Amino acid sequence: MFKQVVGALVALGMIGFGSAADRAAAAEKTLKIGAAVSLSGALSREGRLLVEGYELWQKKVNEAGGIKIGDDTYKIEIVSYDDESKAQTSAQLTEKLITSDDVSFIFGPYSSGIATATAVISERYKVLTLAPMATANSLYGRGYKYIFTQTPLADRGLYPVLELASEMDPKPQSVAVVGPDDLFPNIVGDSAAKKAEEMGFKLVYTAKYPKASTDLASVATQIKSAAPDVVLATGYVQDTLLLLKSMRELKVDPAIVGLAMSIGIQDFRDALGPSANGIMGTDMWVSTLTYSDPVFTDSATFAKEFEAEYGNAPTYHAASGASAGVILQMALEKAGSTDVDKVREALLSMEGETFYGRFKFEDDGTNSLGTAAVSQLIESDPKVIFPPAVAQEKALYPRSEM
Amino acid sequence: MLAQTIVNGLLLGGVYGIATIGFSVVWGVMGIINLAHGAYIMVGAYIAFALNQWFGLDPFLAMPFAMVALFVIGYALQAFLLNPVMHTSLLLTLVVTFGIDLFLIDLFVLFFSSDVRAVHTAYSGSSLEIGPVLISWVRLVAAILSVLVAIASYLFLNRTRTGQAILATALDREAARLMGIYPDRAYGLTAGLAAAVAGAAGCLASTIFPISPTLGISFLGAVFVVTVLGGIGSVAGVIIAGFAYALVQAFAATYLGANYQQIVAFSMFLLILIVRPQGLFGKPFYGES
Amino acid sequence: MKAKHQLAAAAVLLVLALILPAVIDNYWLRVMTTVFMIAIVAQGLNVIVGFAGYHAFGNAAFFGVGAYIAGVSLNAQVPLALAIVLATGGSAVVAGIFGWPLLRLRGHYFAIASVALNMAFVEVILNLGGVTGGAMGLPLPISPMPPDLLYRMIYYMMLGALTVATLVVWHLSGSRLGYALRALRDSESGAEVMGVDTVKAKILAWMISAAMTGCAGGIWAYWLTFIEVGSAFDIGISMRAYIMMLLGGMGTIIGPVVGAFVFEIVATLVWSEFTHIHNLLLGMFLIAVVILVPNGIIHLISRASARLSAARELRRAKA
Repeated sequence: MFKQVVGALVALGMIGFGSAADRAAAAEKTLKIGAAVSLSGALSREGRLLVEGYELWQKKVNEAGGIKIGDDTYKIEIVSYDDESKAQTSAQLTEKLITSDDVSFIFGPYSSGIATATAVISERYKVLTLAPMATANSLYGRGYKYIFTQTPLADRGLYPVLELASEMDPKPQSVAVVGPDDLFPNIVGDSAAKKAEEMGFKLVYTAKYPKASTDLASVATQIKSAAPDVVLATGYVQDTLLLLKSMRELKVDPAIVGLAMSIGIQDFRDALGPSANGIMGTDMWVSTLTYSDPVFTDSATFAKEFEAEYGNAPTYHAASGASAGVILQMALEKAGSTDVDKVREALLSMEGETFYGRFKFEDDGTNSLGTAAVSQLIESDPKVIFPPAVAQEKALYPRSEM
Repeated sequence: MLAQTIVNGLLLGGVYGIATIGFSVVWGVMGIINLAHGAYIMVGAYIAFALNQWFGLDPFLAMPFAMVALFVIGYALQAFLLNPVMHTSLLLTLVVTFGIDLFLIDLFVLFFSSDVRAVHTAYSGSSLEIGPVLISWVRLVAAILSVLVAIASYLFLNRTRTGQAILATALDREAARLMGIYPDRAYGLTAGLAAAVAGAAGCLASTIFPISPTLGISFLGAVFVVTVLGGIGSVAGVIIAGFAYALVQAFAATYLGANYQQIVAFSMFLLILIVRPQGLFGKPFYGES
Repeated sequence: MKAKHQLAAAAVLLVLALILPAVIDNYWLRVMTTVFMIAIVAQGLNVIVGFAGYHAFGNAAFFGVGAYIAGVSLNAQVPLALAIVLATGGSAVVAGIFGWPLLRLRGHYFAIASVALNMAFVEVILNLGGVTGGAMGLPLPISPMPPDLLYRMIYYMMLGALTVATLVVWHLSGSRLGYALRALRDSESGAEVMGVDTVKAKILAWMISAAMTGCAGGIWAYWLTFIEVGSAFDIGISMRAYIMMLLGGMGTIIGPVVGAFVFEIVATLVWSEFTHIHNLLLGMFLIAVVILVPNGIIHLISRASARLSAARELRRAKA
């Protein structure tokens, strides 16, 4: 009885509100997109960059008058919340986005751990998620239908560095893989170690140190005694800095130092200081890429506009966020509808490119055309050295001593 | 590799020791476990970073500035927040210091952002080479300065009137009051001095480790183990324990594998707590029962 | 507040909680489920801290243990109800095993040892790998139920667990064990003189506490469908629960529940406005609670009502 009364009241309210909304809608429609991303806590830096990417796309679209979907033109409104870098909070906010804010599309959180907790909710409600910064293979092996990422998955994280290494002359012989014992670094590290052996390198040392290690001098000492030609590090900013500092103090001098995820981050490069020269790493996006799209034109333009808006150069996090917006826009336009299943079908049937790279989605939500570049710090500036098509400079090899 | 492993441990041991002194003395004298101790170290590191960035001051020379600043912070927090709470419930001080820790970390995120920083000097990264063994200059200087600060703290506590007053308060609060010592003031001084030494530790840490607002959190684990190992409240014990802990960590990482570092640390910690809670070198009269 | 009054208040709250899902949307349903979850953890702390006086800051250890037991069982096709029972019982057993050496420590030593235990469990799971998933995290089977139904079921599971936990605390407050615990909280040697088997009482208390915490952890794992050591053994869980217990009033029957509700709702409503300074505010809030209401809301209410009734008596006497 009580429920029925409440229901009736709500329904009455909606009729009144709805008619007013209908009149407004004739002039302009709004498409709400949800985003619960880390703005505080351990992942706040990366989370903020990602959100800035999403929001720059929103700004561009709205300035251009909106997106034409079918016969209507929609303005974009991103509803964003802070998940505090906690899976529990992110799940709660995803529920809020779907059930209170009524969004049908979500821009994903930063990190695979959090995305794994939220994907199950959006899947249950059949809400489409674009998760440019959640790339753990396990997430896309769960049979979900409504989550997509255009970024290459984690297991391929160090492949470009290995490919580059095998083309060097003289070819390096031995490889060491080190990183913290954590979800993403483990996927990257394990598959890089396997790939290295397949490619004919000798795997001389692997280590997984605790995420909260205060000191890595012992790991550096062991790297030194294994004397590899290539050191691959899968860690986060802080522990990678610690490792490189210790390697420098102990005069560990491999011909190649390749990082899985820190090279594109400004404060990492600043904090490395003079010891940075010649360090290389996988970069999911660099501003010299030559792909193009109708929204941002190309990567150089995106970089310029991002810097004008936020005052600092974009990273791959921001680029992936903005390009997720472009991909969603293309799918919406193609579907000619905001119906989730139609947009999903459009996504699956498309092959295209954004400034971030080319895309063609598989049924599991991954992008079969995703690629990554390798950047190297040459005189403290990151320069693209691989693949040759987008390279700015020849690789510094072997890297001069630290 | 054996020699290098020993050197790695020895070089870091001093820093662990100095990072722990203040924590251990505060626990021993007042019975307070200061969870904000790690944040004090972090503040010290940022002072060294900022002075280096703005005025080009060498991080080792930033130590006196950091010590003075942290003395004031430590004294004030004790006088205004902790002393009143101590009178009602000693254990609630844990909650207060946890609150201070959260507050300070977020404050520094606000001012310095959570970007990772590093202090660079002309000599950072260069090493002294003795045969196959490499000794980083920065770590060597940090280790020597740590031991010097530790000796100074020891002498202060045991040879000066103020130090004696602090120790007397630790032994018997009521008796100390009868002898004309104001416990609240002795506590303020203790907290201030402890924070000052933590600030010095922060300056030293800034030369070795990357700096971020959460720097202290990674230290706090080591600080706990070293405190318990050395005996709560014992400065000499802390220094020896700092070296012992660093050596054990270095050996565990080298000969068992890097992933065993933490396990070894926690096992040591729990074992000592259970078997010999006064620590390996602790005098039984320190601390609470 | 007398136990009788607290129980009446609890009954009113329970009835409200039972009908709530009919009128709130799924987001608030989730918020309330979180409130119940953390209230169970706070009730668990209430047993070991409020009654026995052992400040188990690391009680999140049992939240994690419960979550992992439930996770591993569910992945092994164990039915949900049994998995939660295993999580509850398993956590109690773990507390019994580690309680025996650790509960000999007192005051700060025990508080810190419990934190070390929490961190040690993290390392064990990371290095164990295998069925626990190690550092890769543990994905759980996904229920085919529609979301409206599933989330209501989880809501009632949490509510049920909280009700049981509160009843246990109520029963404890009048039982022999409860008196023994309070006696040893006030003076351990005194309790021994009175003939209390302090070792047994303490261990029993921690087992009850762990069972509650582990049960919450088990349901949480099923709810979230993906657990990692970082989120399951998050020391923030026991820290928040500890604050809620303080806020509500430790050693009372419904204090922790009231504290959890007030804290979590305030946090949910206020914090979204201050994303940059969450922890700064939380830190100040903590300090303020300890300094301003060290005995909690429930005591505040009973003091106020005592004053009221005293005033009434005075008036009656005058008349």
